[in-house]
Amino acid sequence: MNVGLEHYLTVSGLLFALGLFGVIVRRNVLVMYMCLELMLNAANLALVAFSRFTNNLNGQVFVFFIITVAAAEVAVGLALIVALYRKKQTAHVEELTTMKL
Amino acid sequence: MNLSSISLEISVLALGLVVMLADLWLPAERKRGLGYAAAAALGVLLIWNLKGCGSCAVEGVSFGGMFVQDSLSIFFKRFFLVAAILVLILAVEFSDRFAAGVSEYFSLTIFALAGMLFAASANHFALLFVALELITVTFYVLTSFQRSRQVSLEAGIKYLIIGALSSAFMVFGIALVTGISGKMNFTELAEVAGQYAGNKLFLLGVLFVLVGLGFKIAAVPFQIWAPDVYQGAPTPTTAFLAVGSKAAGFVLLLRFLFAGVPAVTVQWTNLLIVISAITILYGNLCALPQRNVKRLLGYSSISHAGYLLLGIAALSTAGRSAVLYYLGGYLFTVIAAFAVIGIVMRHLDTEDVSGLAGLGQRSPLLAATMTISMVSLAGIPPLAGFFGKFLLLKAVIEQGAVNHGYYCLAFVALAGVVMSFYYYFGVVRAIYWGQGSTDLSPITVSVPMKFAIYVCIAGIFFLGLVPGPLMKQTDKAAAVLQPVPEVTAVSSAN
Amino acid sequence: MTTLSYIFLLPLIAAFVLALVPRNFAVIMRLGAVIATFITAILAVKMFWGFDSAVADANGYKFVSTIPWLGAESLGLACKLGVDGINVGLVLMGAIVAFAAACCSWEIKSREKEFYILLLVMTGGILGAFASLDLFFFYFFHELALVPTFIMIGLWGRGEKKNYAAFQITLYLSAGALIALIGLIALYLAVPVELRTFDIPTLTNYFLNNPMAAATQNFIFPLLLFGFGILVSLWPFHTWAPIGYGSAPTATAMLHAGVLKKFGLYGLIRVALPMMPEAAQSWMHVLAWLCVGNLLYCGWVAMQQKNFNWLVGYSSVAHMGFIFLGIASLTLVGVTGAVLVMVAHGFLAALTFGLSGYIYQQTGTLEMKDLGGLLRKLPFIGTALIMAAFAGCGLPGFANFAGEVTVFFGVWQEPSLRLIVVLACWGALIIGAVYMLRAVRNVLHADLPEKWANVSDAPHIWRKLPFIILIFSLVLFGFLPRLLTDKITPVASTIVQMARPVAAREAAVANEVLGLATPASGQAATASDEAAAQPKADTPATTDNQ
Repeated sequence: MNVGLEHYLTVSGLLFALGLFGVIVRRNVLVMYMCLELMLNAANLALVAFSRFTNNLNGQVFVFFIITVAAAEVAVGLALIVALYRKKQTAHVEELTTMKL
Repeated sequence: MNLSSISLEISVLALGLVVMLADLWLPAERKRGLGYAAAAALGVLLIWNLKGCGSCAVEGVSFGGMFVQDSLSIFFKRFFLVAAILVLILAVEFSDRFAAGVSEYFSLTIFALAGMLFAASANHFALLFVALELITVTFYVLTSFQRSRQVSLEAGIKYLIIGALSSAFMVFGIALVTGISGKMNFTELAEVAGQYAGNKLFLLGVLFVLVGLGFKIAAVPFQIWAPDVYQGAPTPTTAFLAVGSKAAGFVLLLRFLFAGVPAVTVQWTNLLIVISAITILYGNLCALPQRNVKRLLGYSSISHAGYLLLGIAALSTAGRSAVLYYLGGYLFTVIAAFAVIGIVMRHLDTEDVSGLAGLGQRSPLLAATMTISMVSLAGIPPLAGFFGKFLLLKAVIEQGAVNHGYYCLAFVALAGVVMSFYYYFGVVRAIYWGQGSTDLSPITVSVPMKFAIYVCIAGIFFLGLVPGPLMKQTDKAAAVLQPVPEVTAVSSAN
Repeated sequence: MTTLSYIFLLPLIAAFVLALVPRNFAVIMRLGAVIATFITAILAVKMFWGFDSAVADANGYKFVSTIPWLGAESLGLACKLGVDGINVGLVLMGAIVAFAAACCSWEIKSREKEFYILLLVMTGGILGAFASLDLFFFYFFHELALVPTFIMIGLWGRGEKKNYAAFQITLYLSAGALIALIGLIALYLAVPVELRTFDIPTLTNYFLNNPMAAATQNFIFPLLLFGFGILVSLWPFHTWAPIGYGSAPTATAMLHAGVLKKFGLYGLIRVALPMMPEAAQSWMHVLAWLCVGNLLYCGWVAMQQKNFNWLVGYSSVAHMGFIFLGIASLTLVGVTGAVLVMVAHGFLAALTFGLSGYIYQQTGTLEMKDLGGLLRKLPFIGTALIMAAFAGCGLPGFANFAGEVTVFFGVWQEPSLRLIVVLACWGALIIGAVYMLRAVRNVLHADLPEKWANVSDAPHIWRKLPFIILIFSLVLFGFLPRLLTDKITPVASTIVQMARPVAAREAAVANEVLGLATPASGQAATASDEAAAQPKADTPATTDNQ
């Protein structure tokens, strides 16, 4: 079969939805974070697919930006999660209840 | 490669690096002075910018159209510089409550400032994304800086998860928009946006980008992080977040909506009206029962995002000019409020409103400052907040002739303002005749802090009584985004 | 810089100067406030005296001046002040009441600095609001009084309900003011872009020549009517007034009930009536019946009151009914009477609240069952209170009578409102007499309880001075209402003709009733075109009858 742009976009959309579902449903902060990375990579996939099929390199260059920024974000985020774990001995998001509505 | 056009940003980044490195050589007791030195250096940069520093104030595009320097960006750059100077002074005051890494705090604030300066000039998705992320990621660290306080870490985590989520949405949106249109530069995108305005995938992409930007300005339904982060973060961070980060979100929103995809913005009038109305109502309703001062200000900042969205929803130059004017008044007001909170809360364990009781006797200056700040936020003459709200209401009612939804929006705003009187005046009440504090010892305020407070009070009164000068600047800045198909029944010549 | 701008700026400058004085010098604060308001009052009297001989500008305003720097050119905003016949009396009343309020604030024993600064800011604000010829600053200066009222009631108020009162008054007044603001903005936007300005004379002239579309009028006028109405305690939005005045310190109640409340009424006469005639005619019946609520309902509730301050509060709400009625009649006589009652009631409310404040200071209570027989101990204050009570009932000789009877005559000329006149005459006046005289009997006559054996009268002339001035003003304008009506009538006739072109017939009747000079007929010619287009149901369409 001829794999076209819409197939890539569907996969990308599915990955994005899966990641979103994971963020909403999962309770462990680390797993939530991994799902967030999945969403970012779904966007990467979409960008590369568009770039490939419209012969415009801008999309692929932008992917480099996203990967770099995501890496920085991960570094900071993991440090934060570790600090929280050290303080509270838990990585469960339901335990973060000090501040109420 | 026109480096001179980003000379201001490069100077700021260099300053941040210098501050970070200076930490290695300075003895412990001099580290606080580093903050003052950084603020002074930023002051020099601000004066240099005001005088028209060589080429950085020259208008034009550079870096292949990515970086644009026009009245709008110059207005916001000055805005961010003023905010950063005041926040740094506040941070020095607060710095003894940091266990370690005081100079890192200063340099992180400066890096966040650099991100905001880039955001003011962003005319391209790549620069928009990188600048936004620079601000956001820096704020992740700044929010959770007090690692010994659990609320600080929790606030950081909440900000992290929700921030990363909205970044992911925004990136996916950018992917869709640029993929379908093939353009990443806003100016080029504006030319072709009209063709794709009916394309479902394109519209979905625009919507996702708005999700990311909406998170930044704390508009409903992306506002859940705001109260927790405002409450948990250290006070100078909250101040910078409330002013700088929100303004950065707004300049990006203005550029994206009006310079990037104007054809789509015009179609989505009703959506903007609804979001604005819900944001105003949500912020005000949730603030009513609040007892924690910082959380109260967090919800109130959501409502102020709603008021600012009034100006955007109006889809007119007058509306955008009103947004800029309102932000100008908001800057001085919010920093003054957080300055008082930062000083007063040092003496107390609680952040409850009742902790402000007796402030009238303990320090008349701080009491007057907080009162002026609350009254300005409520929107009462002769202060800046009133004139800003007046301009926003005028812009909205002007459009009412075209779309009656604007009249409803004006009345919703009115209801919101009346609701807000209750909790703002509740703070004033606590200051002057609240019961709850047995400690009536006087509070001393350091000289630089007094300077910052006087600057804020002067700013609030000036912008409320003598609106002419700033209005000239904001009208000029708003006119930059002019080539929008303005949907007005009455012909607007300005 | 004319006398008027000094009248407006002096209290504000005095407030700023007092802010710089260290807080220990309470005497200086008091003296400073008294002197500043005294000079303002003298200037206001001088302006009033010299009003007739002053030169009017093109629009009929005198003492016009513009405060520089305030405002924004691009929007057509400028802080322009000026007086004509209607607001010169109000400015005079405001300045005199402010002086009386400053004198009556002996009860303030703590934090005098803040109190007097807030009092002076309130004074400057309300004087600026009456004198303003710019729509934006008109609103702006009135709102200056909002925060001072809140803080004054909260910090120096009396009673356990003062917190609730402070919040209620602030929320109500801000809601009313914001509704009016939307109306004012819509009014500004009703003009094409090139001509947009906030200048009231320019706008009035514009709308005279280019009337607004009926739909726009029917949108803006109710906003202004109810917005300003809430500010003036129009029934049913009146509940903030009695509780607010009951809990406020004396000076605040004097300024607020006496002066600040008149702002909304002045706004209706100055802005709403001339610029939106068609809407005025259709909404005036609503207003007339609502003010019956003021007159009868609030009067009846006043009869039930056990606390003297609350009674005075409800009575001041009831008196607003007369003013609304005069405005609703849209006749020259009615509107003139309304302005007269505005000035008279200002003095009356200030007098009554000042006296009750004195009694409160001496006895610590205003519950009428606890008081009694005070006339023996407080001859001066008691006499003044009796005079105030009679003035409130509408006894001839006091300015209130002049105003109220003029209003009745004016409203009678509007046939559809005659029933209301009957209700007002019978109901309001009789009810008013009942509660006022009963209050006087309970407070001043009857037996003197033991605990008040030591109360003392106003000791020296300085304590008596404010009351003497206020009573003098009431009596002066009661015997010589001409001093006011000669100034009011020309302007009022212009406004009424703009609001209701077929008023010329009533103007002729008015001449006979009051023995007045012929009102200005300059507008009659242009107004007669509109008269042809708008026949009143029961008056024959008269064309030219001057």
